[in-house]
Amino acid sequence: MDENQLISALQNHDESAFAILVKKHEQMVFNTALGMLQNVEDAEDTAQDVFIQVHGSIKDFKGEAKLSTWMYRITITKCLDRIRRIKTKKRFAVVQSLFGVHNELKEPANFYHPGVQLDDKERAAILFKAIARLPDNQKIAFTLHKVEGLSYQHIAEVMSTTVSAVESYMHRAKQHLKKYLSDFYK
Amino acid sequence: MKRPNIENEIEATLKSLDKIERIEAPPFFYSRLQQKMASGKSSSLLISFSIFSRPIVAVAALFIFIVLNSVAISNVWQQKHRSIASPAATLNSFAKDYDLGISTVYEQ
Repeated sequence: MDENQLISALQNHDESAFAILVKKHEQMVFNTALGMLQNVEDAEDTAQDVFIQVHGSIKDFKGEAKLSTWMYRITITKCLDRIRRIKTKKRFAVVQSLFGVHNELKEPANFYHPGVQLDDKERAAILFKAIARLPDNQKIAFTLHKVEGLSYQHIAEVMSTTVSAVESYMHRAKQHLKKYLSDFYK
Repeated sequence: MKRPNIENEIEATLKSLDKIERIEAPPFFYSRLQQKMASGKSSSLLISFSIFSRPIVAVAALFIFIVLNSVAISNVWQQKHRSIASPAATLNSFAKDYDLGISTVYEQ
């Protein structure tokens, strides 16, 4: 089944087509979410939300972009939403602690990505911590390029921007990361 | 000036994701997804009600409730006050409302 057939089958509410879609893209969606969220449970939950949204809004898919590009977009949006929700929860917990209500505020532990080579595990954990501090656009561009291995052209399509804008995000991301890492290693 | 070993460590850290490999999605991902979709359908009503449990929505709803009630109470109070203050005015307005002041052909 090629992509067009798959899309039209999905638009006709064919559940077996949905199963094929999930099987084909689950790794891509899960790994992207894992790179962005740096937590396996959050990544799985978000990946499920992505497929639920795809299932619900496939009828609106016009085919202007590739299906994978569209799914990357949804994944990134869902990840950013979740990051915002986590940050809001943290802020709320801080405010509550000022009024004497003590919710447990756990600092996220180092994230050891299961796909990183053993020799690089420690360094990658430090890098992931630094990536989490990047502004959204730089974080998206850097994660899609380094973790998912997407080309700048593909990242530009996902982010609905130009290749030169992606180059600029990457350049600034590297500068920020270098600064954070130099402070870390001092 | 940065020490060369720090410089090297930064470079090595930035390259630490170069050999990253994609990992498999968690086992039974599709089954769990189906479960979530099924539970999502049944609890869609619950989700819409859960909006009201958000603090900001609850405070806004309480504010609107208080404002509407105070407007309603002040209206009732004003009407009551007006009718007590001038019963003649009330009678006049009643007569005006029902055209009691206009004589009809049958009265001529």
